[in-house]
Amino acid sequence: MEVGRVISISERLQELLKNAEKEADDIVSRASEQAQRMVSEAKVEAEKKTRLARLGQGIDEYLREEEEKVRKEAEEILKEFRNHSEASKRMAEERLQQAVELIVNEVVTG
Amino acid sequence: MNQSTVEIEARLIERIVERRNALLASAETKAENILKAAEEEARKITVEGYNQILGIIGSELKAIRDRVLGRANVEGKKMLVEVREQAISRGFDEAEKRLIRIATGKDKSIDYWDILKRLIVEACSGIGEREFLVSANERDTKLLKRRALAREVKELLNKTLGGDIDLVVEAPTECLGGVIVRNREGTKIFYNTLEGRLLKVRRRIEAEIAEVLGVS
Repeated sequence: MEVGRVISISERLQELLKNAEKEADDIVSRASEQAQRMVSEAKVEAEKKTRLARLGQGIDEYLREEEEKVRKEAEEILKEFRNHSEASKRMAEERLQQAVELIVNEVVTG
Repeated sequence: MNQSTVEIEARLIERIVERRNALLASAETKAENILKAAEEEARKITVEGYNQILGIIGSELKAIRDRVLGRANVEGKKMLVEVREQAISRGFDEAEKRLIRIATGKDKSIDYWDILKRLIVEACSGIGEREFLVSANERDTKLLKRRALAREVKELLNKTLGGDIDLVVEAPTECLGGVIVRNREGTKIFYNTLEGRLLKVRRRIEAEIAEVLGVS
């Protein structure tokens, strides 16, 4: 009688295992479907945008992005120029007397 | 039910539950990897599409780049040119102030009387005649009219140009220093004022001054 009970439990457990396998397969197959959907949506979207770009449509966003990017580069360029001009101003101030001597000398003797 | 049967059952249940959990965990991991790979694939597709579009609208992008960066470069260069001009002007302004101090005798490091004589000789030599009319500012006119100093100038001119030179000091004129010399007929004029010379020096050595100031 006890052997029979063990067998019965064993059968129920096998059933539980089978259900788990099915559940696992479902999880994987749902993920695969979602993955396919994601890739396919990305393709459709990319193709759509490319097609529109060929027609000269929907490119404002890209142009704005580029302008924003280039503006940052331009800011950097201006920053370098500003630093350069500040350094030049300082140097010119340091060498002012040397220049004055040269000019005065040229005026009175040149 | 004896003790050993209970233990067998418990072990059996435990093993099956463990197996079930492992199966589900493995499926979750697999699903996660599938989704991660798909996300990566979708990202690649988006990036490729983006790059393709950039290729299609390349000329517009280049135009934006050229316009914005070009403007920044022009603005930056203008900034440097302004710094250069300001530094040079400051140099010449300071030099003018120094010349005023020299001409008014406030700066004793240079003998202004020597300079004035040299400027007169240079102007007369430039005109190349024997009779000259000299104009200077009020202060220098007074100097040139002093008998001893007038004689000193005349002797210097006689020595430099040769022969007997006639020099007439005219009414004062407005200038920082130096002289304006004419021939008797007024057909030849030599401007040898300090401000005139300063102007000529500026035209001649502006680049050199920029270099000295470090703004070339």
